[in-house]
Amino acid sequence: MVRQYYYSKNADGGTNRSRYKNPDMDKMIDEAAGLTDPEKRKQAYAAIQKKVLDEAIMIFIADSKNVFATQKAKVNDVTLDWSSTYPLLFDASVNA
Amino acid sequence: MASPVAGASPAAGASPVAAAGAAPAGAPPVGKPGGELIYALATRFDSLDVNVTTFSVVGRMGFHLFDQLVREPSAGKFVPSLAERWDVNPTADEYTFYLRKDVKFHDGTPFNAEAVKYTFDRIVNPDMKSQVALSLIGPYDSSTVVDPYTVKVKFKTGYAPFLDSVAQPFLSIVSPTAAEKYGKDFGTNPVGTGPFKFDSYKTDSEVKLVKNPDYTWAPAIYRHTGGPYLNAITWRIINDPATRVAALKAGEVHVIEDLPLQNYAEFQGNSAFQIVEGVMAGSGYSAMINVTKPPTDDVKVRQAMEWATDKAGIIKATWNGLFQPACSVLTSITFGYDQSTCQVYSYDPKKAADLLDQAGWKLDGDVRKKNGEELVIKFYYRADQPVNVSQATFIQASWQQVGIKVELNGLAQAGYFDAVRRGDHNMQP
Repeated sequence: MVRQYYYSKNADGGTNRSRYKNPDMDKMIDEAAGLTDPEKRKQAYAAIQKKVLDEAIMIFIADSKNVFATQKAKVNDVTLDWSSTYPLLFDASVNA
Repeated sequence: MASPVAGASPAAGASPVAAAGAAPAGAPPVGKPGGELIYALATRFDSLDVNVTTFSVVGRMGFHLFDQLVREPSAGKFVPSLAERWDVNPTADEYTFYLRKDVKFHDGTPFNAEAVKYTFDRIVNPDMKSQVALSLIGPYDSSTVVDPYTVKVKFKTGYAPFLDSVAQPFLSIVSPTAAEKYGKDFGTNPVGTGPFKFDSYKTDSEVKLVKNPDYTWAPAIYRHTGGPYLNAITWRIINDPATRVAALKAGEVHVIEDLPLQNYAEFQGNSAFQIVEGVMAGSGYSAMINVTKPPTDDVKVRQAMEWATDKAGIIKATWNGLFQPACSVLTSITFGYDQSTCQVYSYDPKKAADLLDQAGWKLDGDVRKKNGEELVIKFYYRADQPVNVSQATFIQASWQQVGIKVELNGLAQAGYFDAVRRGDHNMQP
């Protein structure tokens, strides 16, 4: 995601519509992708997020939701995966 | 505004937020056996071939037709599925998966390391024209069958997010026998190892899946072992939101996706229905600011735009107030999201005005000017997207109060893409 939006190679008519080119940012993005330690990766992503805000490259407006509705009396145990994208029906059942 | 991008969340960590409608972890499911569940899909799709599709709704069916090497119970946490365990080397360019030995595809083909290699090689085969799966597989180099149940996957460069990728439905393992047999028609004859088998597809209308009676390898993200309770799932395509809502109310379908937000309060207040919802992983709605085009080449002007943005107001006007304000490029449930981003800006028109003063943009009547020129932000967006129109209109009225003039350029899709690729915009969704 950060690569799509902030990497210099995507800045000329690509997905980086801020047309933002900064070798420091490129380096931060490349380095983050190579980190296997989750804590270090998180720190690297935090630094990228902070830089984006300091330089005001993008205005963040709303976290979107996925919203589903079920018939409560007829269906049991419809849940979503952690990303709220996929309904999981393996545990689900229906009442006659 | 940017259509939210469903998310690649890299590697471990993060505190997940359970979907509001989810049952408490560990609570046993009701588990009434038998019956058919009818699910209303909101969109048509291209193909049931998860390795090829560009539609996330295909992933919704794909999680039932197919299995993946690992599953992700919460952001960045992984549990075994078709792989019993795995190793990653320190540079994250070599992953070794040790596979289950008791799994077979719906067509009887045994699941093994060859099937994994076949699937990943298939995704990077240019003839397949894979898109989502291809981007998820990243700098894939090759797979090696170490022994019948061990496969080594190599990357050209370190690729820490790969476990997240293989946990997604798009990197599901397909039956090599069926993929060879059906070729391009695998998309209408999908064969996996999942808890449900493909039964039938009526083009642009309905997909029917039936229970896989041999299924004994459910991953631990679920709350029961053995096979699924349902005998069948029918996925009915109902494009029109009002028709979808009417079908649920009439009892013709059990579950609908994409509940229109104008119906939210009504369903929430009605005990016959249950809302199941959650914040999406990835990126939410945002506006990108062009840092190369005056006046937004000045960081002070851009920062002023940040302070001048009334997110709560936009959310109220656009989504009935149902979404949470965003602070970062990553949504609050996504791996790597940094909570301190919420401390950087808030809605403060006074601070916006001060920054613009500092940048030399002085109020002259209703609009700020510098060297005789008005402070104009060219906002390009798609006029056929009501969400974009709502936000653009709100921002124009709101920023007027700090002396920023917003020029609205609502265009048809093609014209919009041409303009923003050229960089005509100061701002775009």
